Amino acid sequence: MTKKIIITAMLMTVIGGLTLLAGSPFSGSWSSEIQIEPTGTFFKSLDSTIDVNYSLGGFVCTSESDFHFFGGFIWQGFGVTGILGAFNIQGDLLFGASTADFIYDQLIVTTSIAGIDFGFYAAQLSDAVLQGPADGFAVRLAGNAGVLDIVSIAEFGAQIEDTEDDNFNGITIYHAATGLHKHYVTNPLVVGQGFTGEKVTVSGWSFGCVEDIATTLYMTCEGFDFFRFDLTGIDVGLSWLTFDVELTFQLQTKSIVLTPTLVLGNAACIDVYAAILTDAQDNTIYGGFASLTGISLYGLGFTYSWDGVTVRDLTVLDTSCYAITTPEYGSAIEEITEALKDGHEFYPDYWELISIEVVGDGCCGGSSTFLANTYFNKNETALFGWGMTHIEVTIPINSMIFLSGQVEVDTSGLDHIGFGFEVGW
Amino acid sequence: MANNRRATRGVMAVRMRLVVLGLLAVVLVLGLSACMGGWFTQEQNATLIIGQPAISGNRGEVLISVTNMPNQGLASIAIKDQGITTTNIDPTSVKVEGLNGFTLLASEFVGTHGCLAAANSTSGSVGGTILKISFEVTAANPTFTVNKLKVSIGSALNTLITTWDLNTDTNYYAK
Repeated sequence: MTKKIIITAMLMTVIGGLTLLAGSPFSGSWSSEIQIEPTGTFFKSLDSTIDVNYSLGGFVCTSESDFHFFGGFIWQGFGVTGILGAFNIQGDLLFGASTADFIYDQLIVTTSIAGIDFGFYAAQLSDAVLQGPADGFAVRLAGNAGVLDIVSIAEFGAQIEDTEDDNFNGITIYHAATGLHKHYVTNPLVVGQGFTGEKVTVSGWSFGCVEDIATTLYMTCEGFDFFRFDLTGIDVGLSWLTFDVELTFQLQTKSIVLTPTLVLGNAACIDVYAAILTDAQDNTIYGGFASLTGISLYGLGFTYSWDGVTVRDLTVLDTSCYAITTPEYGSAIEEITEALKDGHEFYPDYWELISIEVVGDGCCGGSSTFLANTYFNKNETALFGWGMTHIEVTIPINSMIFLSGQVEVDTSGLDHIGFGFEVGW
Repeated sequence: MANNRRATRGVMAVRMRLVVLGLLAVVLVLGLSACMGGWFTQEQNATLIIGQPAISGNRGEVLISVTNMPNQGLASIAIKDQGITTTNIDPTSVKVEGLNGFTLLASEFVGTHGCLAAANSTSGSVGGTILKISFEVTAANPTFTVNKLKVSIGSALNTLITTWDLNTDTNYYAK
């Protein structure tokens, strides 16, 4: 008992002491959360992240450490961002702490001259990673010509993430034993730095019936790869329906994919989630799938806020394709395929959420929050089909230290209790 | 007013020239350097990754992941009877959980062997974690191994994936 009191006192002293660094070149945060389950082996998880920033002459240096309950000390990352003359510089360095391996590094230098944005992206991946070793760089130029936006990316063994193109996703590095992962925008693909690809995108064309037209040409070292037209928001004369068209030419094939979009007006308080259905599994039109088969009303939502209190209700009507994301990912209705693609966690078995969130001023700076989410299960036979209740509370000790607690109860009883803190300095 | 218009047109013309010149420069550089240097494309095989057991106290976890899976990704996996071999793991404590859209269809762990089947009904996984196996350990250094000959994997296009590697010793992989 005495030991516990001493450890608790020491922890509080350290946490409090870190806030004394305020005003120094050092800043950062330490967040940690422990989850305890009443049965089994007591500890369910322990996650901890420490960020330390050091500001010097316009540069900010960052250190980020990630710990996992089963895996221990997993990642040690370092970063630097700053401005050197006309250049913006960002550097990242990642080590695998548990195996003492260098994993990845990245350097990004950007500048803007006479309306043209220049970017230099370089990265290396170590042979400790399954797909390594690899290294390379890419040069990005972007500018305007009248209403047109022109982007040219020359690839020398590396690709840059393009959020609007699924073929260019950056790189996500996983720790195989724990699943913890890190994401970066520069993806090195090969050893050596010869020319490997060139992508030119011209967008901003607009005709009366089409909102935006973009063209993308991609050449690789082996020659022509693809040429693509993206037509967004084609007006077909119906106020509730638009189409996006993707027309792709490859060396020996041509493909066209139409994505119908249902245009709904602004709802007063009830949000309706609906989509156009086609005879294709992904609800697009291509190849032999050319029929619009109906409209799917897959969810309903209600949100009302007053005096810091927000009440939400979400109902998923089509649980085979849609789900409610976890509180960490905004508790929203999302298509399961999109959630999986974006790495969002969701509840596959719950079809309804009733949520109350209260945000108030803390006693000593910062805000206190209370969140209670109750979920209803499609497979349970409990009262009203109740499935699980998740409660989170965050209380500020001062403007820099926050304590948090959470409780999760499901139909089998108390699932876990969690405690955490976040201290900034 | 007319001077302002002329000046604006002049600025736009200069910018346009710069953009065109910039793009021409890139094309020229690429033309001159095309394919010189190394173009040593790494062979990116589809890989099923069995993570090293992560242990804390008397509890442990093994993650099963995939990377570079073809045909819109892996959507089903079956490890046949005795396809899994364990040591120092309590078979009665083994719990298999589907991750990222995967649902466990069946599993059985008896003695030092096990089998399981899981599927994702909505989409395939090109890369990432698909299954988590948690257990209690009975002695130090527990092991969890899979026999590749007893594993079948299927794609989101409902086709068998026949060319793939089994990796049990990597600590990191990328997607």
